[in-house]
Amino acid sequence: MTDPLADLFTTYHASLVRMLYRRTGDRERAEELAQETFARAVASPPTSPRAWLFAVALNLLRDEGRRTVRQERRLVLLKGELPASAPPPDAELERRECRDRVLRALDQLTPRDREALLLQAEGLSYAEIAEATGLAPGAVGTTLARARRRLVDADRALHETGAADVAS
Amino acid sequence: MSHLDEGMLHTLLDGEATAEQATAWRAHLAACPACASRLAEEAALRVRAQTALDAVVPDPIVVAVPTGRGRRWRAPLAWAATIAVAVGAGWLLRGAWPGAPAAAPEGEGAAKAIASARAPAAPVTEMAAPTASVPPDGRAVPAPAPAARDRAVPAAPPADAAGRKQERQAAADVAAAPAPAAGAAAPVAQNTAAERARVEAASGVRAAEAPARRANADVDAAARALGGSLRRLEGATLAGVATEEGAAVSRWQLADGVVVVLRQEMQRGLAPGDTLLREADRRASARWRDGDYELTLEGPLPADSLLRLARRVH
Repeated sequence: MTDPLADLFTTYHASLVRMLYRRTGDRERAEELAQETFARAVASPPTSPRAWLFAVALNLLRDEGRRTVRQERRLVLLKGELPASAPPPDAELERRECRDRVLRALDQLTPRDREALLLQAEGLSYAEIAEATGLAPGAVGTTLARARRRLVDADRALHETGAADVAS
Repeated sequence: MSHLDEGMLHTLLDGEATAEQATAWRAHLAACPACASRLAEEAALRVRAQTALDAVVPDPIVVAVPTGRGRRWRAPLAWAATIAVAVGAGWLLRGAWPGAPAAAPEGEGAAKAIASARAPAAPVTEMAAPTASVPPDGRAVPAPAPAARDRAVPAAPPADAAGRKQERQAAADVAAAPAPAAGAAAPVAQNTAAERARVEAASGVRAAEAPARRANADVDAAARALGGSLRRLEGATLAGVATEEGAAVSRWQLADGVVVVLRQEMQRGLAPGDTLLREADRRASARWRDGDYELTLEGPLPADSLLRLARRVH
């Protein structure tokens, strides 16, 4: 790796993976897509990296289409949990439920809204968001307003549905 | 000027308004209670949305590396035991599925291979908000200390073929170990089915479903084979028990008809307090230590539901 690319990696890798994870709900895929994104940066190093990197990542996601779901998706070692002799902490289960619920809520957004929201959450400016997603710069604020509202509403609805299931 | 729409409000809240816009909009807000109140609402919404997103970070992935067959699982390097290694464990297993080797490799060699594969190639920043499984007793994958945040993340497989082969073999050992009885991934199922067939042929143990009147006999036989009491899944109906070499495999039917499989065997080195959780497309399995035993619960459920069920195993 050349130095500039290593810097690029250190600066943006975690952020890119997080955004991709929020898009896919699949950590492994997020890591792979991030790697592919950086591989393309090696091929043609960008001058304004952040918007470029996220644009490439989003394109890779879109081009992927419907991939065959891998058989073995996840192997996780949860340290310190004792289901039998001591139940997993409620907080941990709740955290995971909460995360899964928000992921489902995100799925309810339109792709454009979702992309803008996730990029903004990674600190991209409106100009960068516009560049990465193809949105008109003047439309980013409206898109974000709508995306945020829809996310919160969807999350709330799912939360209420879940609570109803438990109660019944 | 006319009232501020939500796009303007969010632009302002995100700090993206131009100087001109900011001046004009703020002037309006000062004079318009309706818009001022609207701004407060949108600000709250913005925070709620961010809070929701903050909840979405992936679990740390830690792969316990065996140091030798049947011995206690221990990561080869101190940091690997406590730091989430941001490599998808799935890719470690990728090469293991077709024709996974039956024999486990030399444990130390495999451990070293994985350790060297994780040796820093380029320093990478750990996820900004690493989630740590935080159990009550504090033994956990902790959030990495700032100094430890730069960690090699070999998201791509290692370059050398030898390392890869050893990793595959070690991963096969990882994959083969829990062997959920109801066969999650096909190649694993092939292995265990083959093994079960051999065991059954050799010992003549019937692994068929036990009719109710023979259930108790099967339970007793299983308990004898284990040398201890059979764990049960509270709230479920026992649908069958089979004894394999040193393991009791019971099938439990839940109220909604779903059948899960509980495997109980002498502990094979999983550290007390750890849960090995596995998730494929529509099935999950959880393995944990319970005194002298290791229990594996497996079924067509998401991981969270399975973990909740696991709490009812006594």
